[in-house]
Parts: sequence; structure tokens; C-alpha cells
Amino acid sequence: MTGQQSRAYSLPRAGLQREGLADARAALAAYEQAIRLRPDYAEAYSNRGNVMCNLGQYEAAIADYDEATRLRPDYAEAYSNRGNAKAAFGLSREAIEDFGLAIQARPDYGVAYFNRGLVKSGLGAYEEAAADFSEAVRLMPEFASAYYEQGIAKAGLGLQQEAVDEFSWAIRLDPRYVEAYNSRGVAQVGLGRFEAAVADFDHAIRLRPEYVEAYNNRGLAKAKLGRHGAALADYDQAIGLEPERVEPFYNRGAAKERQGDYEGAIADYDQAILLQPDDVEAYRNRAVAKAALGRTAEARGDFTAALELVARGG
Amino acid sequence: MRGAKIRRALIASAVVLCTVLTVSMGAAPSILAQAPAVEEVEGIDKAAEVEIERRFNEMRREILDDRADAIGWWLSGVALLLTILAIGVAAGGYLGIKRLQAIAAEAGESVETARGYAEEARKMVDEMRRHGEDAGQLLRGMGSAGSGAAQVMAGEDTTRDPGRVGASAIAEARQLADDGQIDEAIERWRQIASVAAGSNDELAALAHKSVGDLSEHKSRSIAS
Repeated sequence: MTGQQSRAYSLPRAGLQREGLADARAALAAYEQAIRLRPDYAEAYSNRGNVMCNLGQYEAAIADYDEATRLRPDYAEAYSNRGNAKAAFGLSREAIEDFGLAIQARPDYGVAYFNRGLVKSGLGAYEEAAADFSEAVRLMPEFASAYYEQGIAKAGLGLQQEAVDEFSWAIRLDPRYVEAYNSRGVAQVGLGRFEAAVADFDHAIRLRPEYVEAYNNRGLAKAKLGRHGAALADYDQAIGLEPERVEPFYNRGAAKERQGDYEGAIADYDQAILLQPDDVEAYRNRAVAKAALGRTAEARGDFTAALELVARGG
Repeated sequence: MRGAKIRRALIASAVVLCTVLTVSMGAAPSILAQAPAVEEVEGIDKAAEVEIERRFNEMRREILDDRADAIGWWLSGVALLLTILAIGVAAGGYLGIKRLQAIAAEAGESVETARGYAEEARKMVDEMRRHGEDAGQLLRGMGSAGSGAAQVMAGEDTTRDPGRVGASAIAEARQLADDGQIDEAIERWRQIASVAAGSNDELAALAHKSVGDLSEHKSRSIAS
């Protein structure tokens, strides 16, 4: 299982489409006017910062949030937004501090708990993340994403059944929560409930027919059920939708290998290594496939490469 | 013989008198006849003196009549001029009064219109005050109407009273945004900003910020 999951991405995203860029520029111009007329307009600074974030200009965004919080030291939203910008800029620890300031300014600010949980979850601190998501759920009981992220944290802690429960809550609140179906499917696989997992992936694909991760994950679940042909079809679909993703190539190579199609497997591993040159497992599996074909020297080379990568910490 | 001398003297006197009078009127020629010496008329009898006096008086009356006639003509001319002048002044005055009356009527209408606008403005101010708090809530509402990411990014809006002017326009902009007519809502906020600029910078700033919020929301909608 590759564990490929799609997560609700609540941090600011860079790279708007062209139409979005035009609107973002219009928004910036409007905020400029507002600030010109009212230089103490903290909200205008904060919201301009949001636009900067959307445009990927995190440093400028952080400067705006700085100004907003200088003008209004109790401005919880600005602290939280600055935390988002810092997290997107790779400053996770500082981001966590900002979320703390937001919570300090407004102890019932569920969004700040939620955002802090996201950053902690991203750092692998699932225990702390789960605590933050619990608080977010308590403060915002109708916020499906909080349950969903709680599920991710629980899964990270190896608590698959609890994760399934959290994803189910998220789906109850938002029946079109496609990522929740996909993630619950992954948790079901972790619990060995492959049929239930396939059902969840089916649902996710129905909701979003171009959902690459769901195809890949359904292929894995089907492979677990021994339905290798169907699994290959799902991997093909995933590769067709997004040829730059390494996981479907790797998984398809493994499926072909199990079917005895070593040449086909080697071709897929080639692609996987091309896309991700430090993929140890791809080198190892390709070595096995080559050895099965009697290409001993090449197999030895791949093993050596895999070992070197491991030695380098790959 | 002597009578002829007297007549000549009288005529000469009359000519001198007439000449003097004429000169005094300012238009006579400057030719003066030479008057004969007075010694030549000594020894005149009473009857002749009376006759002379009578004729002299007659002449003087004629001269005075002529003078009166001249003055009469002058007075007539002056009167005519004054009449024309008076008619002109009267006509000018009449027209002026008419114009002033028109201006006064126009001013009255303007005052009434201004009163109407003032009343309308007062109503708008009242309405504005009622909606002042709601204006901030609108934008918070829009932030939470989006995706999860939108909720995270939504900033708190000002809760200040946005001030005067355009309450109904704000209500309309809010309604448009609630109905998902974002472009129209943006346009309304732009109008509000334009109207408020200079007179209510606080409201203008709020309007610009609202344009920014809606545009930002729109940019994310397109992105997702």
C-alpha cells in the first residue's frame, strides 16, 4: 500500500488560474484603496495578505499580517492567517506559534486549532495534531474537515478503526466529501476490509471520475483481493490521467511481476525510477524482475544502487 | 426828418437788443450794427415817446415771445428725451423685474428640490444606521460560505459603523452577494466607494475592502 491519500488542503495555495489572477489583482487594487483611505484598516491588511498568499507571495503576505496584528494586537484571524502563510513558506514552527497567538487572542477560535493541527500533522506529530483536531471538532461540530483531519491523524497513529469512524463522521456531514471516501478506503485496507475499501474507492471515483489517487488505491485493494487484471486496469487509468505520478507505475510493475510479466514490470519500474531516481523499492523490485529473467549482472547493479540509496538515507 | 432818425435809432436799438438776445441764446452771427449817437434824438414830443415806448414794448414782447417759443421748443425736446428715457427705463425695469421674478421662482423650485434631497438623505442615514452593523457581518458570512480553505482564510471584517450614505445600496450589494451575483455585488460596492469618496472615507474604505473581499473570493472560486 502506497498510502497515497488526498488531504483537504486548507493552507493557501499558490498558482491561480489566469481568470483567478485577474480577480486577485483587482482585489489587491481594492485593498490598496481601502488602506490609502484608512491607513489603520487592519482587516484590509489581513485580507490583502490572503490574496498575497493565494498568489504565492508569502513574504509580502506575512508583512501584511504583521501590520494587521500591529494595528490590532487581538486580531486572532490575522495571527491564524499569518500562520498559514508561514506554514506554506516552510516555517512550520513559527506557524505553530502564530496559531498559538490566535488561540490566545480568542480561545474559542476553532479554525486556529484546526490549522495548528494541520501543521503538526504535516510534521508527523499526530498525537498533538489529534488533540488540536479534537478541540476544533468541539468548537466547530459541523465542520466536516475537522473530522476528516482527525481521521488522518488517527490513521497516522495506527488507529485505523478510529480513523474509519472519523471519516464516516465527515461523510455524514458532507456526503460529497470525496477525499473522506478515499481515506476511509485506505483505512479499510489497513483493517483488511478490502471489499469495503473497494466500495469506498468506487464511491470516490463516482464523485470525481478523474481522481487519480482513488484509482491507484482501488487497484491496490483489488490486487489484495487477487483481482490483478482489474487492478492493472485501475493503474492504467491512473497513469492515463496523470503520467507524472510514480506510484501507479510502481504498483503496476508489482502487479505485472506477480502475473509473471517481468519485461512489463521492468518497463514500469524504469518509469518509476525515471520519475523518482531515489526510489529504493523500485530498484529492488527491478533487480528481482531482472534476476527472474536471468539478467544477473543488471540485477546486481540494481541491488547495488538500492543499497547505496539506503546507505545515503534514501 | 426827425421821425426818420428816431425810427432808425429805434430799429438800431431793436437790432442791438435782438442781437444781444440772440447772442445770449448762443446761435447768432457775430455781426454788430453801429448804433447812432443819442444826441441826434433830442427834442422828441410826448406822443412820439409814447409811440416809441409802445413799439418798444411791442418789440420786446415779440422778442420775449420768440424767446418763450425757443424755450418752449427746448423744453419740448427735453421733455421728449425724458419721455423716451423714462419709457426705456420703465421697459428695462419691467423686463428686469420679470427676470428677477423668474429667478426667484427658479430658486424656489431649487429650494424645494433641495429639501426633497435633504429628506431623502435623512432617510438614507437612518437606514444606514440600521444596517451599519450588518455590513460587517455580510463579509464574514461570505467567507464562511466557501470551501474549508475559504473559512480558514476568511478575515474578520470591521464592525465599525460605516457611517452615512448609501444604506440601500449596501443592502443591495449584500443581497447580490448572498444571491451569488458576485460581479454585480462588486459593481455596487464600487459605486458606493465612488459616492462616498471624499465625504465619507470610512465608508469608502469599507466599500473598497468589500470589493477586495469579493474579488478574492472570486479568484479562489475560479482556482478551485
